[in-house]
Amino acid sequence: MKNYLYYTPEELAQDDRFIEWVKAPDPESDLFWQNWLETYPFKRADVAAARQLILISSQPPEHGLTPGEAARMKKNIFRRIASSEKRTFSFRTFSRRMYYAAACVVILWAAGWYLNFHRSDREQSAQLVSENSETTIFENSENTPKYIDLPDGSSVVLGVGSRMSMPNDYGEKTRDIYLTGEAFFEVKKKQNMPFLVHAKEIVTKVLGTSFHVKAFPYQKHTRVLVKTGKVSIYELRKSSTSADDLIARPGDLILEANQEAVYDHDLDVLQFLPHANREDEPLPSIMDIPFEYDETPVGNVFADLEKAYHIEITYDQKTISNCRVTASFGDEPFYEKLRLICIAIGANYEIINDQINVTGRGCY
Amino acid sequence: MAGYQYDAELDSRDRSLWSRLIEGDKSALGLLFDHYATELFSYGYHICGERELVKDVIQDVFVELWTYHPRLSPDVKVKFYLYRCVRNALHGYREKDHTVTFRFPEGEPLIDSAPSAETLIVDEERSSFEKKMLNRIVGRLSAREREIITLKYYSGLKLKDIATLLDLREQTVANTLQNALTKLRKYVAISLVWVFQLFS
Repeated sequence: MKNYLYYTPEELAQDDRFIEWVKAPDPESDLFWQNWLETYPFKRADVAAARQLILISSQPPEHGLTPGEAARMKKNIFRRIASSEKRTFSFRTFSRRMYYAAACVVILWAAGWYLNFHRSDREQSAQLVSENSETTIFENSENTPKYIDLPDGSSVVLGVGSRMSMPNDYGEKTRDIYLTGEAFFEVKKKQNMPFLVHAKEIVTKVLGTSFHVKAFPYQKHTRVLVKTGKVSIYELRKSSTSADDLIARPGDLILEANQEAVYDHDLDVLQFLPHANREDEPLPSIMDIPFEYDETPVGNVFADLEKAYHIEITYDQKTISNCRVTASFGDEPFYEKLRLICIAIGANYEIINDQINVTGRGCY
Repeated sequence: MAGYQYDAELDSRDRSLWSRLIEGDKSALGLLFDHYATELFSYGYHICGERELVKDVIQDVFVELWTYHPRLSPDVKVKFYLYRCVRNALHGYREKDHTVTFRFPEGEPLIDSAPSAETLIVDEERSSFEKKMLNRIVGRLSAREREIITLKYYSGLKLKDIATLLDLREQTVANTLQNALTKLRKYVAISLVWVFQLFS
């Protein structure tokens, strides 16, 4: 037992037992301190002073938080959390109710889509490819779209009968793709190295997220439709094709979400296309797939991926098909989507002969 | 020294809310906010005195807690941890001119919880004049003294925790506290005389 007899008021005010009694007296502490005061009545003044010190020091600030303010703050917090979760990819498996709030990997991906390759125009379009530099040429002569990985992690779904060429130094200083035909691009955002898609008379520079381009070699129009994010479009100038020279000039356009531009080959002008004049042509399937899942059986998710990327995915129906996925995807490329889904259902994937095989223990 | 019984209760309440938060229970975050918003605000207000800034910072802290919930250390003194987050965030604001950097403290052991000042002793009915006067008395202390007094009595943190929080030696905190109390006692004596004169 401490000997409180020689405590000054300041010392008493620092004693846990005393503080406790002042702040939240209970019968036990009351008994103790009352007894103590009866034994040492001359300490009453000191006890009173110590009490006062504690009470003054425990004061909330003059203008404390009001309940209304606290309520507004709380509302604000949850609103901010909700809006950040829309941007985050969050998963949960059906059975375990586990949430995988994937850290907000906001890497911007961009996607471009080049439609309707016209076979007879192949020679003419191919001249866009720089003849001097060594290039790698991809050609899809099969009857289904073909998935291609680019060296920088970007990816392409090359359409039927389409051709794409890529300089061999792609990704070292520049990222240029020359396309004839149709393809869907998912472009990994890299600072200081824009992704440029050259198609006929225009160059589309990726500023972020997804866009849709229709370049009909046989038509007098080239169209660009932005789904999300921003792209800028330049007219190709014969004198300069390097990225450095691609600075905005009058006549260039920056397109934002849901805007469409058209380049008229005859009039040689690039302009915005009003909504009403949009073509009713079907968009490639990947443009129509929202990639939004809420407790969706994983089989359906894989089916969407197969449809969008034309890659076959096999998995053990018995074990994995009872897994469900809740996720909201943006413009992540195929392998990123696949990876996130596999995390969500606790599975792994491997690539065998251009075919994906997913294995896992399944969900219970 | 063993914790008081009601501290043990608060402690286990906090502990369970904390593990629910880590598991992704959003309502646990809400409850933690309900329990600590007022206290954290008072503390932050004592540090910087800018109402809106403190409110913003507290909101940031709770949003960040949710962002990082799967990676939070399960073994922390919840209350102390929250204080530290608010303090770090406020200092981040101060240093980087409104660019907050959250330095989440590494796991603090969840043992030996400090007595809490959950229950505010000061009478609700106490006149605002008296409150003002008391605040003025405390206001005469230096900023550091005020902060330590607040942490000790309003927030009920232990000297050891206060020392860690403020990056001071425990002895320094104890000395500062002692000085602050001596000053307070002097100020109180003077101002009580003044009050008596006023009403006599």
